[in-house]
Parts: sequence; structure tokens; C-alpha cells
Amino acid sequence: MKFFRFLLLLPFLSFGCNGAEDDKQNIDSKPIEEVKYDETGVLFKSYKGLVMAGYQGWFSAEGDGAGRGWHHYQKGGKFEPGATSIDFWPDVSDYSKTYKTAFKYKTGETAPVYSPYDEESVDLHFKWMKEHGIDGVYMQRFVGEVKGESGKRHFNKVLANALKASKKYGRAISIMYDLSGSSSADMDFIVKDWEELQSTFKLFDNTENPQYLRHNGRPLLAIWGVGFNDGRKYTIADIQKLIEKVKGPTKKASILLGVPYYWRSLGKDTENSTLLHTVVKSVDVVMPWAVGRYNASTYTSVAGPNLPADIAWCKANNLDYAPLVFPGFSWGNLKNDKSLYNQIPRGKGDFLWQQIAGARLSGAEALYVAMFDEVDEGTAIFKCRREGELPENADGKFVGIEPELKTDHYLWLTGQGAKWFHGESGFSAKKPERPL
Amino acid sequence: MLFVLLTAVSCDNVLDKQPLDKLQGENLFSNPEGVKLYMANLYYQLPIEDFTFFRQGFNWNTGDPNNGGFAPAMITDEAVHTEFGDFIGNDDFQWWDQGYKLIRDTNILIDIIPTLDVTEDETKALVGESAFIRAYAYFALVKRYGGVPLITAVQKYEGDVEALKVPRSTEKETWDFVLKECDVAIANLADSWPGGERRATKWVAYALKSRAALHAASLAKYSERAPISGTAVDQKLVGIEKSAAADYYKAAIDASEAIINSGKFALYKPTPASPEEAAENYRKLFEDPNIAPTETIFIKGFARPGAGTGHNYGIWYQPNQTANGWPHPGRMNPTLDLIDAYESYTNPGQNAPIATTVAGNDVNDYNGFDPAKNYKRYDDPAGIYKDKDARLWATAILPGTPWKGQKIIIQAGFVKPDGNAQLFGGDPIKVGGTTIYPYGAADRTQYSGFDTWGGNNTRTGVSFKKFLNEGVNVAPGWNQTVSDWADFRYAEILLNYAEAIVESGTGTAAKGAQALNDIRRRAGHTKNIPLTIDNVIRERRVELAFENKRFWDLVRRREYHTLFNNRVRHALIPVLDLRVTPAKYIFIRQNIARLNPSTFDYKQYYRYIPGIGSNGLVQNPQY
Amino acid sequence: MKHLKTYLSALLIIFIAAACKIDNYPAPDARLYGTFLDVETNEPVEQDIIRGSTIEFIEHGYASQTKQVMIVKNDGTYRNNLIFANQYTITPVRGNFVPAEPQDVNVAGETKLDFKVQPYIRVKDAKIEKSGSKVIATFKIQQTVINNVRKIGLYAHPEPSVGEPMRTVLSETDINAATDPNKVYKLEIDIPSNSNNLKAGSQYFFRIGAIIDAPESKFNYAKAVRIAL
Repeated sequence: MKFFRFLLLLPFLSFGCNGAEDDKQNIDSKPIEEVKYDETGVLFKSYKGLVMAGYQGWFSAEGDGAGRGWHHYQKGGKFEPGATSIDFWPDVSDYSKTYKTAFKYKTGETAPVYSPYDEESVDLHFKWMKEHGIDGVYMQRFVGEVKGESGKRHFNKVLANALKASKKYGRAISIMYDLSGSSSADMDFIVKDWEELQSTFKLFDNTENPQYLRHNGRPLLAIWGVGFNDGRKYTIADIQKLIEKVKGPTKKASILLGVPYYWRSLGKDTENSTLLHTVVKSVDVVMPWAVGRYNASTYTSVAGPNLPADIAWCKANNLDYAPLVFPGFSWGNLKNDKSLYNQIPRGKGDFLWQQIAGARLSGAEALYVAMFDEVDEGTAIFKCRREGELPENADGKFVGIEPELKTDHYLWLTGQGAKWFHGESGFSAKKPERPL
Repeated sequence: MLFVLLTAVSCDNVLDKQPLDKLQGENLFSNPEGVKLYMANLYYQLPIEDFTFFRQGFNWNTGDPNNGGFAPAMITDEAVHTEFGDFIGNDDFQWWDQGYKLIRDTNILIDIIPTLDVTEDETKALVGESAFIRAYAYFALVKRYGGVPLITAVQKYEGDVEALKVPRSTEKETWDFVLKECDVAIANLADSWPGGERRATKWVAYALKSRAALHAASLAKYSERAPISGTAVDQKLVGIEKSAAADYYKAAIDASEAIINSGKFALYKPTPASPEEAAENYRKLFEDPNIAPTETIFIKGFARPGAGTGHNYGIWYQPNQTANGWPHPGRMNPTLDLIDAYESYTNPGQNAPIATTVAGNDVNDYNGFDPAKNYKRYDDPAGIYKDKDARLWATAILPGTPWKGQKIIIQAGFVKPDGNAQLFGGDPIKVGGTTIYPYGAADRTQYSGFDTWGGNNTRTGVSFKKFLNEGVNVAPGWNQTVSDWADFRYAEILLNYAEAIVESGTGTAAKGAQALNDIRRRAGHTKNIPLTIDNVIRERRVELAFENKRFWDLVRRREYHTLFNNRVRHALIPVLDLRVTPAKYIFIRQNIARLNPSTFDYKQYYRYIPGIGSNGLVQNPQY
Repeated sequence: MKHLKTYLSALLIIFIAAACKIDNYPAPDARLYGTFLDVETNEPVEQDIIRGSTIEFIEHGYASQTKQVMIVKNDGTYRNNLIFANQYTITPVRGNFVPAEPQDVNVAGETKLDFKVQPYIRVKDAKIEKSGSKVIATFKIQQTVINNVRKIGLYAHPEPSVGEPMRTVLSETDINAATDPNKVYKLEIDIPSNSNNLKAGSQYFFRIGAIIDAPESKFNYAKAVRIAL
């Protein structure tokens, strides 16, 4: 009782987020000097205002030199009609280097694919980005894959290709660790791998890689997969330590954290642990995973109140926020379930634009597009074959871009979104019409 | 375990007792009479929403059954109470401890069945009956609470209460369990019992499945009409994905079709010659459902007067004039809202709101008497109900119609020759030497409407008739009414069938339309109407009125919060118009007097779970 | 009621734990109050007293984590004069604003806690006037989220706490679309055709409301206006 009486005497009590302030003070009080980067010539000093996609780059083709067979195209060791994990088929008519597959069009002609192991293919991708005004990509780095020798070789090659191309076309680039399949024991590996990447590729060198994305005065590293309640083998506390190590005492990097959609309310897909909020408050950008959380008809009721609430939370905690948008979703072949073809239909871009507009109108300043080249789950925005022009797939099928659209329609539409986010006028909730 | 836990907290020493102290296991069950006795007790506990089902619970005919006669129908748009303005409260319609007691008692039986020395047929019947009872019990739980702990074997307390705690299953798992138990019952039960006993048969189990599957399907389809949030929602303890609707509708169609195609059931007197005949047939069907063995699939008997065996409809709901000495009759007042839903034979397939004026364009005007209006005038105080569906005449006692040899007088007042209305009381007046009484008669035993004295006179303009036995004068005391309750009627199965077909867009639409129109034909309609959801729901409202279906229909279809958003229920008051000679009756549509608007909160779609402090379960949203 | 409940639940826990030892507990000794404020305009956010936004609070130190609730007055203020001094987690929920965060608050003595919220809808330039035999409302709608505006309404009641849940007369229009912030909406109530509830010579309160199409959302309002008919 005495304690409370004492409090009563205080003339004014403030009940804000004291916890967060305390945390920051603790860190600030350390006398270690923070690293200062030379930003001369740096092309992207902030994620704000940018529209960037995720880049899987995990495909490989037999004969591409990666030695990984039909990685991520195949299923059960085979890449032939009836055995594949992709739903969308890349449109490779512009690629200088392609690979013949066992798939055939109705005409009997062989259907080829590409490999990102090839420099010229990745170059083409960045050329498209520039053509359509998409700002750049987050290069996915799958911890489970790069732990192995061939995986590491593959992803390093793809990264080398991408760094070269992004520099050439002036597109932003950043690394994103995808922690799916990792365990607590992998955290040290990630730190080591990350250090190695920095030195191998001179990532933070403003003349070598002026296109590497910076945020809050430091290079941005993305870490994806924190706080999901789907039984992962690492904890939020592991990530907290990982972030501390990645930043180091001199705060070497800014961090984008990929979190579940309901990260703020700690419900549904999110682990009910307030430690997640502590970790989120220690990073620079939050990106909640929205794929599969809504479709065109549920978007407004789900994202409508959620987006502004997320943004308000981030503002209050001095964070930046990048909502995720995706064109649609299809994983019938991956899941061997025909009912999952076109599970979330694209609606000729209506769905993608609904999200772009929703994010913009709710006050978002940057976008994450899932994904540039993801054909397994059918979220790719890059050129894919259209309905009616697809290879045959035994008793299954492939899913195509709507036949009345051009194969680069989703690149174009994403580019329109980028213009809006760059501040150009003339955009609204109404989907822009592409001139013929 | 929940039962055990709850009693543990309340310091009962049940844990020290032999769990079967009254029924010594094999000894009892080896004796056929013992099995019968045990089974009778299980059936007694079955949550049947009959004459003794009230907001306080089931079997409300023991101890002190005085609840003012506030029936579940009064929480819907079917009726209001003469006095009480209550709406749904948090504590209403709870059935938790009792539910888990019945489940425990059934599990005791299920565990013991394999050890019994009985014939294979008898074993099968026991397996079927116990599955039926468990399905019935879990259905009653899931429609109240959403997902609940599924206790499928007797829990034994071995010193650790925590070990007995079973978390809630998801709502979908619970519904699936109910349907699965129905399947077990269907597979094991016979067509009938040799002595015609009122026990579950294959067909009763199909009927239960038809009802339960339709309920689950509707929830899946319509839950999004009333979104709620919270831990229970996140964990899917309440709510079903929309995508589950198709399977549940199919289950409802299949179960209903099995009954329809069995050839064992039919509507009672399906082709009456006239609406009058239809009305009398329908009335008799509820006066004594035993006269219609092809229609009544499952009957609960109220065999003799007395606590636990009789009920109280006969005293609470008689019109005031036939109270037979009971001090508080007349309490069920059917609303104009329900009356409007009955079709008119002149305009099939439409709601037929009662037009009180010649213009007929003011059915939404509830502002009371307006001298400027040109009201339709009738010699007959029930004249305005002419052409209304026969079932209205058999469900409600209309003004001026006979009941138990008396003319039931329901009158709200009069319009004086000078044009001023005198409603709801006041002094009699003399017109041309005749004394005109406000309520239609001089003495308060001679009329049945609007006088607030005793809370015994209808305030909606009609009195209640369905289920009441015209030939019996019920003694003025507790539990003296002995009419039986038809828990499953063939008509409900037909309606479930039609609804599942039209809501899912699957099945044979023509058969669904026929089911709908067969019921209407039995009610004297001769013109078929198309199978639409509006037609099915209207038909359901009138055919199943007061059978305690409406409450759950509004819940499962998530229509409650829309229909009860500041809902004012309405009356149709008969008024003697003395501006003309001879005087005639006019009718005024108006808000029911002394009744506040009612609003249904989203959270009421689920009951709260009692005792979470000790059973550790996740509570339902907003409790 | 709520305070009584707190008291009882505390007692109950002791009762079970200490097996029949009845304690002499202090009465609730603190007061918690505050206002819902528009994060942009800093003006109070109008509410409904029944079926309106609610404030959930959980008292720390009890394993049960029982949620208690407070209601909010129409003017956006709330007050609880019977609360135990303690640490609480307080969350405004199911409201007419973008979902807000839980806050851990130490309640002691006279404690003020305002909630800065983003109302789903701002009713702007609201005007309600009696004109001939009608009451006419004109206003603009500014929505702050991408969801559709479900409907707009003009509500009347003899009490100042008028709103959609508490009205005797209403005039509503379904919108079910995104609204143009520059459009002037007009709603009217005809007095003679509601003579049962709107009596000449009496005073009534009129209030303009609008509701967003979001899960569990509540109405947003302009201030109620008193008009003598």
C-alpha cells in the first residue's frame, strides 16, 4: 500500500512504451563507436520509396554446370510430364541460353527452361527490371541449401551474376537469409556465411557495389522467418542473438526482418511471445509475410484494418514497414493436388493492384513483391507462358498467365506500382490500363 | 474429467465413491431390466428441446418449475411473453455440467458393452444407442460452445487432476465427431424396436444427422456474417472454414434422402380437401403426435402428471378465458412478425404482411391509430386473417375464434363515435344504449387480450394454440400437462433436405422443391412455389413454429444480429370501430406495448464455458 | 458489477488456495479514466455507450488472466472509479478505430490513460437541421483505411447517447464502396411518418454515423445535436 501512496504523489504519470526506450538507452550507453560508411556514389540510400521483389534464383538445369540437375524444377528426382514441382512455366523466348526438357507443347515441340546459374539469364532479368522500373531484388539465401557445397556454389554464382547485372542496370540489391529449415545450431553458420559474403563480394564497398541497398546509413540485410508458429527448430531468442552478432558492437548493418502476418497481435500464424516485439523493435524494417493470408475477396477485411495498425505500430516504435504484395498463388504440382491450381487467382492483375493500392493508401512507403521468379508456388511476376501456350503435363497441367495479357504483364504492373511509390501522380485504387 | 474436476472444486466427495455405486457393473448389465433402467436414465438426460426446455435448462419439470413460463420462442421473433421483456442473457441455455455428466454416463456404458454377456444383436443395439446418445449430447454442446473437449472413454482419477484435463477440440473436429457418432448409430441400430419402444432407431439417427449436418453446414457458410476474434477463434475452437460447408450440406442431403427413400415415413394427412381441414389436421398432430406414426420419427413422452413426468404448457399458455383456475395463463403471445410470414392462399410463395388499410401501402407504419387512415372494417374479429395459411389458425388462437367451447375475446379498445380512439383500458362507454367495454367484455374472466392485470392477457393480439389439448382441462398445478413431444418430424427432415439442396446448389433441385411443396400441400396450398432459400426459410418458420427451432436457425445462419438489431416486435391489435353502425373491427399494426427493443450481440452466438478457472479451457470470445 | 467481480475472483482464489480462510480485503482504491483521441486531429473520437468500442483490461498477478471490460461513453471518454491499484494490461478492442496495441499500465490513485487511435472514418462538415417537416443531415465522409464504407445513418433518440444501437428513429443508406471525401451526403428523417417516436414540441438528439466494413468494427460519429421539433 505504501508503494502506491507514493506513486499517488507524483504529479504526472506517463504510460508510454517505457520498455522500448529502456532498451535503446542501454545500447546507446555503450561507448563503442559505430561504423560509418562512405555513401558516396551509393544509388539507394533507403528502402523507402522502393518497390523490390524477392529473387529465388534456386533453379538449375541439367547441363548448366551447377551440377544440381533440375533443381527446383524436378520432383522425386525427375523432371518430365507428371513429375515437376512448378505450376507456371517460364517464358524463355528472350533468353540466349536455354535447356531442353522432357516437356512438350501440344505441337510436339520441346519446351525449354532457363537456369539462373547462367550469367546471361540473370542479366536478362535485371534488364527487365530496368525496362519496367522495378527497383531491384532481395537475393534469397536458403540456409538449408548453402550449408552444402553444391548449394553454396550455386547461390554464390547466382549472386555473382546478380551483382554484376544489378550494377549494370542500376537496380537495388540486398541479401535475404531464408531461415526455413534451419535449426538453432545454424545461427553461427549464418554469421560466418554473411561475413564471408561481405568479403568475397565486397558487398559494402561503395565503388564496387554502389547498387547494394542501404538503409539508415548502413547496408541492409534481410532475415526472413522469425516468429512463425509452425514448429521451427530455432527460437526467437536465437534470432535475437543472430541479429546482435550480425550488427556487432559497431552496428555494421541495418536489418529487415521477415515476420508472420499476425506479428503484431501475436495470433494465428504467429508465436504468442512478446519477445518477438522486442526483437522487432531492435531492427530497421519489418516485412510481414502475406502470401496465402488473403485472397481478392478477403483482402480488405483482412488487410484493411491490419495495414494501418501495423504502420502505426512501426511509426510509434521508429521502424520502417514494407508490406508484401503477390500476384496470385498456385501450387497444384508441388502439392500433387489439382484443386490447388490457381488457388489464389490473379484476376489479370486485379489482385496484385488491389494490394499495391491498399498498401499505398494505407500509408506504406516501400513494397516487397513476392516473388520475381517463384514458379513453384506460382507467385512469379517475371515472364511466364500464357494459358493455351503451355506444355503438357501428363494428367496434370500447368497454369498460365491470362491469355489476353502479354507475358510481361505482371512485370509491367509491378512497375506501375513502383512509379506510384516513387511519387508519380495519376494512380489510384483503379488498376492502370496498359496501352496496347 | 470435466465433471470430475468441477465436483472436485465444489468439495463433493464423488471421487471417493465407487463410480458405479448405484449400478454395479456387470451385475446390473447382465440383467436385461438393469440395462433398460440404465438406458432409460440416459434417455431422460438427453437434451431434447421439448416442453420442459427453457433458458434455465432441460427437464424443467422437477423441483420448483416456476419460471414465469418464459419460453425459448420469446427470445426469437415468434413470440413475446405477456409481461417479461427479457432477451437473451449470458447465463441462458447453458448445458455444460449436465452435458458432461450424460457423456460420462454414456461412456460408462460404452466401456462395459464388450464385457456383457448378451447376444450379438443386443450388443449392436447397445453400441448404436450409446453412439446416438453421445452424438445427441455433443451436438447440444457444439451448437452452444463451439469446439469442446471430446471425452470418448470414462476418465479415471488416479491422483492427478491435471491428467484429466482435456483441451477443447476445434469446432470442426467436434462437428465431425457428432456426425461420425451418428454414422456409428446408423450402422448399428435396427429399423425399429420389437415392442415399438420410443428408443433410437436407424431412422432417428439419420434424422439427428440431418439436423446436425445442416447446422454445421450453415455455420460454415455463414460464420463470416458475424466475425468475432480472440484466442478461441485463432485456435479454431470456434468457427468453421467456409470450405467445409459443401461436405456438411452433402451429409445433410444424404441423411435426409435415406429417410425419404426408406418409404417408411410420410406426412400426416398429406392432401386435405380444404384449408379448414388442413388446420384441424395440423392442430391434432401436435395435440397428440402419436396419432401420426409415419410423421413422428422420435417422440418423447410426458406420460403422467407429476414432477419429472408432466409439463406446464397446459397452464402457462391457455388463453385467460380458459385458465381453469390457474392464476397466470396467456403467457405465449405470437407476434405479428410471425403472423406476417404465413402465406396467403391468394398470393402463394410470398410473405403476406397483414394490410390493415384500404390503401394497403402502410404495413411498415407502426405509429398507432391514425384517424385519417381508411382502415378496412370487419364484422368478424378474425376476418382480417381470412386466406392466411391454415397453420396460423392451428398455431394461434385468433380473436373471436372458439376454444374449448368459448369465444375467445381479444380486443384492445375502441374508436369512439367522435373519432377518438380509446385503447388499452379506460372506462366503458354507452353507444345507443349498449355498454361497450374496452377489452370486449365486462369481467376479466371473459376476455383474453390486453388487460395487464395478472400478466394474463395477450399483448400481441392473438393467443397461443399449438400443442395445447382442446379436449382436456388441465388441472391448475405444476406438471399436470401430459401431451407428448415430437422431437423429430418428417416435415423437418423434408425442410432440412430442401434447405441443404438450395444452399449448396447440389443434389436434385426438383426433389427439394417437391419436399417443400409437399409440406405446403399438407397445409392446404395447391399451387407449387419454386425452391428458393427465402421460400424454404419462410416455410420452416411457419411449419416448425414454436418447436424450438427458430432460435437455432437464427444462430446457425448468423441472422440473429441482423434481425435483432434494436428489434421491436409487433402486435396486430383488434379495435372496435364505433364510428360506424353497426360497429365493426379494425386492426392496427403497432409496436408491442411495454416492450423494449432487443439486440443480439455477436458474442451470443456462443455460450460462455463455465468454470474455466478450474478446467483451464480457453474461453469463448468476449466472455 | 465488474468491480464486484474482481473482488469476488480475488476472494475465490484465496478461498481455494487457503482452504476456507476468509480474508479482509481492501476495497478497490484507484480510478482510471481517459479519452479516445484521434491520433491526427487530437479530438475525442465519438463512441457508442452500448455495443460500442470496449476496453479490455487484465490485472497482473493472477494466473487466470481474466479479461475485464470497460465501456466508453458517447463522447469518447471512459472512467472506472472502482479499480484496484495494480499493474494492468489494457487494450482498446472491437472499436471504431484501427486496432490498437495493448499497454502495460500502472494504475494507482487517479490515473489518466488516453488512447490515441486512428478512427476508421471521420464524419466531416456535419450539419443537422430541421427543415419544414423533416430533419436533414448533410456531411462528408473521410475514411482512413482502404475498406468499404458499409453504410451511413442518421439516428434519433430522446437521450444524448443516441447512436445506431440506441435510436428510436433512423434513416440509413447502404454504401458498400469506397467513399469520395469531397462528396456531400444527405440523409433525412420525416417527422410526421415517425409520429410514434418523434413528437412535436419535444426535444430529440440526432447523430450522424458511418460504419466501415471491417471485422467487428463499430460506428464512427459526428457529435450528437439537440433539436426541438
